[in-house]
Amino acid sequence: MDSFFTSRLFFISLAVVIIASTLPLYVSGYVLGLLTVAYYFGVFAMAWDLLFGFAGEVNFGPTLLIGVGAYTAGILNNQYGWSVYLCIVLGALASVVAGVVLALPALRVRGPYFGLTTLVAVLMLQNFIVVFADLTGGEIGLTIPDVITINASANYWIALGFMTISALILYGLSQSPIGLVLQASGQDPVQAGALGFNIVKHKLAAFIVSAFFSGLSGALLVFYFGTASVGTVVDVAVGVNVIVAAVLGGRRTVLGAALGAIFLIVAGEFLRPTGELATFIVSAVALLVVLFFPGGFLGAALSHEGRK
Amino acid sequence: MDTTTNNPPVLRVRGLTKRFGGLTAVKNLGLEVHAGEIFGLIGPNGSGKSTAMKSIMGIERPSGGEVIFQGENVAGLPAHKIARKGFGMVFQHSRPLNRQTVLENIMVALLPDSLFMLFPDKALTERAKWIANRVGLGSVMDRRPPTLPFADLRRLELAKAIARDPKVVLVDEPFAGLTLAEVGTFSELIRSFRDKGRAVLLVDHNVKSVAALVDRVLAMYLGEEIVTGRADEVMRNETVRRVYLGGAIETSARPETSFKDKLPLLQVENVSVHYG
Repeated sequence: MDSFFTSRLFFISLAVVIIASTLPLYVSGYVLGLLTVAYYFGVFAMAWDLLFGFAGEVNFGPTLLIGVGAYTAGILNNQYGWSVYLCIVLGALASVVAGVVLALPALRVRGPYFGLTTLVAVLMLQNFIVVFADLTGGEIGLTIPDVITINASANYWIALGFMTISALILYGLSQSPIGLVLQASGQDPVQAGALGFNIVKHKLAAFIVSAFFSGLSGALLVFYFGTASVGTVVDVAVGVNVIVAAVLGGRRTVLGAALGAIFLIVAGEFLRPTGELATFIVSAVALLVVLFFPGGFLGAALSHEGRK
Repeated sequence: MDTTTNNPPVLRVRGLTKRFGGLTAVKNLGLEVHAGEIFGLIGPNGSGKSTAMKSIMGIERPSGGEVIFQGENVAGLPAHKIARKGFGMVFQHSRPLNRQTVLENIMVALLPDSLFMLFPDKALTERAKWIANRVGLGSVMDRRPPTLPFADLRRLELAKAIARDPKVVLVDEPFAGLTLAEVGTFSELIRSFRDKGRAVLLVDHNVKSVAALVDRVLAMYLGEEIVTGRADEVMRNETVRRVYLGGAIETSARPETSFKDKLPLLQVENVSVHYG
């Protein structure tokens, strides 16, 4: 950890955050709005990378954790009018509960079966939302009466601050002894067990942390949007985007995942004039990076630095 | 071996059985290993020796029997609990953390099974360095595993297994893939575990390669014990010779063939690979 604070990565990150925090002074509200969403997305991707990159578990259903957090917060606000902050905290906690409920049985199965379990869980959540439309708003979406603020700059700073703090915590965890044990468990579970590590305990902890940040970010996002819908926080396609963002940015780098997410969202917006082609072009770029630079953006940069 | 047999054994295995469905891989196995003893578990491929070792370590859950460690039955406990009681295992195939250095790989083995250790202890680094030097990894501590030769990766496995100073060390096929010179060094290392008062249980398919190392040997065949005793006694045993040594124990080197006047199919010259 101490080496991190003197490393080049730290100074680059610090500079990026400082520059990013001055953006509201000279860019339009439209760009700020775009980046606000991108930052929340960045937290989704970082939380996912902790599971995949470190614990070695491919969670095909990041949107289960995101969606439960988002909808819990939204429904509580919609039904009971509780305060925004209480709803956000409860949303994150609900997400943790959902994560544990999913992980406990899912961690008993290995490899592709784990991924399949997580995927099915998302489909179930999606169905639930559509079926219980009275509560959830169904396919039309849930209207959320309250917002944190309507000031674009304030929303932007909240998102940036949240992403920065999440990045510090998640990156710190990944570089700590816990991250090492997690990585060892992901790499070779049998050996990690023989070295005296309770693998299920460590992976479950990783799941809880991942769920907490996903849920928190999901809840913050719906209070920014003022609405929650299946298409924005639950759909499998959203989950695929989170996964692509994390892989694009660089597996096992945590910070790279945030970069990947910002790239995906911003690139998607830039290509909007191309219409339906936008998704195709972004996906093609992602595919090329995954095929030819499996280390991702940051993975390539870090291994270059490591060689010096 | 009078000095060791008078003390109670550190590890006592009784009636150990492991079934996979209808197949009994290990049947009613019994053995005792004392502190400061190297015990060899030998048998041909498929004789159940590796399964027996995994069942002792808790990687496989035994179907029956007792694994008594310092008077306590640990059979049926998960591997991580058995490991914390004082067991270390050297795996045949290693999958180290490739992004971490050799030293960090050793440090992982020293970490507590805790979710709340956010900062590594300075003492751990010192201890990891000491272990690295002890197994002969002193000069490559800061390298990453993918750049290491095979023998050094095996050393890393040894280092991890003995990191927390286990009372019982289990070694799976200690010499697989090593050159003759490396076998010598590894034998020395394993002997040094014994001299430190550890109980060493090693599994090998070749009685000859471990004969000079082990104090006692148990020969297995089809999951069952054939005979236990000193290596030379076991090698003389009729059943042992018949069932798996395939007759006399002798090496037969292939006579050298001359390819002088033939064109090689594969020619390799001046190939070098640099890391770091």
